[in-house]
Parts: sequence; structure tokens; C-alpha cells
Amino acid sequence: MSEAGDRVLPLQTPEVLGENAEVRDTGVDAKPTGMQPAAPRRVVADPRAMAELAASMVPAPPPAWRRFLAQIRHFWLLVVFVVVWECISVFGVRFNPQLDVMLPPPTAVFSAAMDLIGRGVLMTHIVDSLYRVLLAVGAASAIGVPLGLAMGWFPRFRSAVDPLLEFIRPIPPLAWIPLSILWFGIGDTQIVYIIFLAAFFPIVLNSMAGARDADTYLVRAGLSLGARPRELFSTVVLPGALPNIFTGVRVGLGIGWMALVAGELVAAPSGLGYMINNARTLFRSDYILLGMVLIGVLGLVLDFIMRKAALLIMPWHKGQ
Amino acid sequence: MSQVSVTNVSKVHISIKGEPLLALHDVNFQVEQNEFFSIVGPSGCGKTTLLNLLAGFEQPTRGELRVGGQLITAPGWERAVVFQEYALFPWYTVSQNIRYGLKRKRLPVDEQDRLFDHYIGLVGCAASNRATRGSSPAACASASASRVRWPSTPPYC
Repeated sequence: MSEAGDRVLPLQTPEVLGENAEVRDTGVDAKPTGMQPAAPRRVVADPRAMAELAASMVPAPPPAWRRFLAQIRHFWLLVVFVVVWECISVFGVRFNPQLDVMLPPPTAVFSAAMDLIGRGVLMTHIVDSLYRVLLAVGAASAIGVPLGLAMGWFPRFRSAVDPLLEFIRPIPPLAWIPLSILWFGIGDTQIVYIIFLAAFFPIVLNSMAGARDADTYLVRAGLSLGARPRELFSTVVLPGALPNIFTGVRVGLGIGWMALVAGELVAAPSGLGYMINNARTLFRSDYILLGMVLIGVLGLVLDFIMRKAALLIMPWHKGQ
Repeated sequence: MSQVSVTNVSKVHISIKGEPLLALHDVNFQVEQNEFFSIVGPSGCGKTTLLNLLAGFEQPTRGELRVGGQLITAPGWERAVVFQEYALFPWYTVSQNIRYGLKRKRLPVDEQDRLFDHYIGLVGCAASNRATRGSSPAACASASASRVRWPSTPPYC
């Protein structure tokens, strides 16, 4: 236990210190150095005692089910929307018989889903689309993030690469479709290529901004603490650029998802876009709407996953 | 030979509009071994510029700065800087921040721990508590943040 003369800080009351407070030797002579007296021994508070004291001062968090209900509450407008849609479709048919085909109700969309699931076809479309977008965005990140970081950090490299990049960037991915079909034929590779192009540029530009806008003071701090160029990059520039990189990948994923659907609408053997186009030729608007709803839902889920991943990878960023 | 010598140093900054701005003109001084040297002056007189030149973050327009006879060309651990705005790495915990310089020097781990404890003891940092030591620097109050920055640049000599 601590003795008189050990360094105990003013806020370290007996409750905070706890019984298992550790006493450490600092190897310092007990001579005062300026404002604070130095001490040869210092008392380190027991972290569990501190945690218990802290917990006793704040109300307990609500149970998990209550928190879940609170989250669900936000979807009330969506529910209203679906109900209104159902009503319009079901009762509007009396006034406009064509509404049957033009705007099928949510229940028809649901039964279309059940129908396709029963035939084992829906999952194939979903999985095919997801596979293409994840592969393409993964490749775009693997190439685009290092390229963007290098462009942001080395001005000469950037001036060399920039004109070529800025020339290709305005060309919409869809304009690449005819050429890509000549190169790759119709299939996964061709669609992955289109999505890659769509996701690539946001990723590069955002990564570049992340490296370029590295905090000058942090870079200088790293340098004056003896960091070599490679260490500086991995310990200062890269972590500092992570928020921008993440934004780039998230935007790239969103744009890539849209490019996926457009690409599949034009030429694809399978996938959600293909399903919509196929349904169009059959005048099955319930399948069309099902495809659209799934596209929206999956896009939302992907974005949600990205945001959670951001919180995990960059816990410090949330606090600021 | 004096430890730090600043000879005929002038520094011209170029503003964003391209206009030259004279920050330092013909500065000369020497600092001896074990001497405690203070630079004071009104805001805007060039103190930070001079410190940046000594740290190696910038190069003088004219003149030279030498430490131990060697010309200063780049930042280095032997010219440690304590920043006005703390410059703590938000992606590292408090103790990782303090150990950063020690890790750059590739010291053996027990040596790093010994130095870490020693300087924490000297400074009396609130982050000496193990619970807050693992937390992020953003959680520190600014008073303790400055006490995190100081031990990060202990004299290694």
C-alpha cells in the first residue's frame, strides 16, 4: 500500500485508488522539478475500483430490447409509405384498370418474391450482383487507394499522372460498355470492369485528398521524433488519411452499385438488373418492382455495413 | 565550439499571392552546451520561424544554422520539438503517443518501458493512471494533453 511521500494525485481518493492500488518506482530522485514535485514512488489507481465508482454515478443503460425498439421507431414514415402505396394500388384499380400492371401493390411484389424464391432463382440473381460489385469495388480500392495516396504525397507523381486520369474520368462508365463487350464478351468480367471504372475515380480522388491534407503539425511531430519517410507514411499520413479513404470507398461503392444495375440492364446473363430487364419484356411489373426494391435494400445494407466498419477501423474519428 | 550556432540567417516567406515577406533578417546567436536559451518577442516577430529553421522544418533563405558543427538540413530526434498545439496523434492512445519517439529509436522494450515510467513519474501526468493511459488523447483535458506531449520528447542524450 502507499506510504506518505508517495505521489498520490489530488483526484485519487481512497474510493478511486481501491485496495489494489499499485505502487511503482519511477527511478526519480525526490527533488522538485518546477511546478510539480517529483516523487520516487507513484501510486497507480486500481482501474476496476475507478470503473465501479464511475458506474455507480451514472444510470444503467437500458436493456438491449429497449434500445432495439428505439431504433425501429425511426422507420414509421417508411411504413406509412408502404401502406399508402398498397391502398393506392388496390383501390385505384377501380378508377384506372391499367393500374394493375402500372403499379402493382406491395403484396403483389411480395408474392412475386416468394414465387422466385420457390424456384430458387432469386438468390442466384442477388448473389451474382453482389459478387460483381464487391469484386469490382475491392479491386478498385486495392489499386485506387495506393495510387491516390501516392498522388497526394508526391507532387511530381501527381503532375505526371493527373492529366491522363482527368482525361479518362469524365467518360461515363456506361460509354465503356460497347468497348468492354468487344474486349471481354458478355459476362461477369465485362460487368466487373464497368463497376471498377465507376468506383475507381472517387476512391482515387478521396485518397489523394487524404494524403495531401495530412496535418502539417502531425507530420512535423513525426519527423522531429525521428520517423523515417516510410515510417512517417505508415504511422502518420496513412492513419490521418483513413477517414478520406473511407469516404472514397463508400462513395465508390454507391456509384459502383448504380453502374452495376445499369450495366446489367444493357447486357448480362444474370443479376438484379437482368431480372428487371427480363421482366420488362414479359410485362411483369411486379418483378420489376421487386428488383427495384431489392436494389434499394441491398444498397442500403452495403452502406450500413461500411459505416459500421468505419466506426471499428477508426474509433478515434467518431469522437471528433 | 558552441553547440548551436545561427549565422547571418534571413528568411523570406512567399505568401499565397506570391508576395515576398521578410520574416527574419540577419539573425546571429550562439547557444553553448547546457545553456538554457529563451527567445521572447511580440507576436509576429519571427520566433516560430526561427524555431522551424532550427528544427529543420524549413530552410533559411540566407545564412546557416548548425548544431554540434553539423548543418541543419532536416528534422531529427536530436532536435526534439514540443509543439504549441500539442500535435498528438489521435489514432494512438496516450501511452502509444508517448512511446512513439522511443519506438522510432528502436530501443529494446525494457529500456522503452523504463524511460516511459521515468518520465511519467517526472511529469506527474494524469495519464499515469493505467485506465486513462489506454484512452485516446482526445479524451484528455488540455492541461494533461500538454503533459503527454512533453514526455514524448524527452532528452535522449
